[in-house]
Amino acid sequence: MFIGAENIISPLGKNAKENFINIKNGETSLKTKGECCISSFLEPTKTLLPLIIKSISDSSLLINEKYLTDNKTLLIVSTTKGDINHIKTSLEDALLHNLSQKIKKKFKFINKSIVVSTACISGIQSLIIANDMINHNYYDNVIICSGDLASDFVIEGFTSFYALSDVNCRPFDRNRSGLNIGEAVSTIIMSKHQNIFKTTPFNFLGGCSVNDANHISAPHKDAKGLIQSIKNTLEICKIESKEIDFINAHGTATLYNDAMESKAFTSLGFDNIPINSLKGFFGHTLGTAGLIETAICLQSMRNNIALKCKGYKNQDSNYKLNILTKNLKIEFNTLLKTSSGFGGFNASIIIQKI
Amino acid sequence: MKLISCNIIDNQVKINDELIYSSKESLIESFLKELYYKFEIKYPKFFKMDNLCKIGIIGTELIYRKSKSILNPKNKIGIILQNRSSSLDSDLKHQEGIDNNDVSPAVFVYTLPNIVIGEISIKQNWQSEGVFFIDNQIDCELLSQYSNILLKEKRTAINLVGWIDVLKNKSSLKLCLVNHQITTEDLESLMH
Repeated sequence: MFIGAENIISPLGKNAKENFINIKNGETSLKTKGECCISSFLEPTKTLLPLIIKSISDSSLLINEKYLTDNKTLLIVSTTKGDINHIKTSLEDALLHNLSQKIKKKFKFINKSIVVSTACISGIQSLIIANDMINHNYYDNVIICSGDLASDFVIEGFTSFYALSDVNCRPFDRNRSGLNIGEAVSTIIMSKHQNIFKTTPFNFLGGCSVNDANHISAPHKDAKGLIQSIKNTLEICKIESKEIDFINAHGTATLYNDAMESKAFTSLGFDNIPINSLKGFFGHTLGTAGLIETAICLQSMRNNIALKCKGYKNQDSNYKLNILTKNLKIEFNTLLKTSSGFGGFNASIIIQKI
Repeated sequence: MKLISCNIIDNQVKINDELIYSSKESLIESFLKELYYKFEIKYPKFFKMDNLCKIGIIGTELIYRKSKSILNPKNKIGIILQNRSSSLDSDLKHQEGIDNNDVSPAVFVYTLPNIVIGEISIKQNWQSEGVFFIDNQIDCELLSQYSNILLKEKRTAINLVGWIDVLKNKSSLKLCLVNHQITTEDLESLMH
């Protein structure tokens, strides 16, 4: 299936290109505020709705809307907490389906909207579902949008877990000390029609999710779920691991998550494949992470640049992986993107140049 | 295979439309505890869970007992769930913790709707695809479409499909097992 028209609105930039250029130049939107280090919009924002509407509008400028016909366009809203800030004033406004209905009303070309909420894999899983829905002829086009805010609700929760770092996060580094919460919205469009995209899209080859049935908040120590998810995805996409040019990992910079991912990549023999995590640039944006990071990867593929893993300096002695310490000019044809989250969820996808 | 379904609505527990238990408990905590003992769930972790997970564990266990032979973890068992309130029931408790300066990680971990899929997966040792959708009411079109996709692609051999919603004292659970292609109408009649 074709994938493109990526948009990102984050504290690091107002569109995908601006985000990509700032990341390429090594910039970060992470700042220490009080006891934690977060990435947040300059203008404090309490509601996602206007941001998501702007993101979808900007994304739809990158396609020919006239092809969105025949009542076959689906909207997938992917989020963990949506407009949770409303919880203190109106429970109705905090309901996720109300958010998706309000978005749907703004766009005539959307025939139906659904919400996917599976913790930190929400974004990646929404892409998998979009691909499935088009492949099985239920829809021709799917708009996938994602948003999560760095709310007190989430920050207080992760603080109670002792999962937050008070300095810029260091994914995969030996001395990593926890994650940074970020906020952003992102949109990606998938379609069975290549000509819908104004700039060259990519091929979304496929993906899948696997639950590791181990613990609701701790990653599996043997990385069983993530390994199985990657194996299944390679099989579904009929891709051999030697064809993968680059891996964009989840890499939250917590001790256990990064160890789990490193274990998975090592045992799958991915020792030499360049790997990064983008959390050092705009933090962990929760349900949006998978989508915003895929959008950056599409930009990377357009520019044939593998981006460095900001914050990473010292190799974790247990794992010999090729975590990038500087940007690398590569022939970037095939991307593996992985994601893991609370509830034992793991997901992976493969995207390739046409 | 005859499709197995379980409903827990208005204090009544039904398997394949047959009433198997009716409770008089008016508080959800007491009601779920009563079901736990009545059906001898024997899973101490249950007591750490939020109410969304508790009712999910009970409903799944009742279905499992009726279909043990096909619910071997070696068969890839997918979980496709939906609800209206996401994890708002636990979200409210976490928010109360924030307001009272008493935040607990044991509450916060349940502030995601997909945790019920995690808990079911751990209890039953199912290691396959899982997805959680949110909508105002059960969307049998979407649920049947996604179940059909996973089965057709052989990514799963059987799916637990349905609705689990909890908010304050109100709860509803409608689950069924599906191992072949179904229409929206098929699912609607199972979920009525």
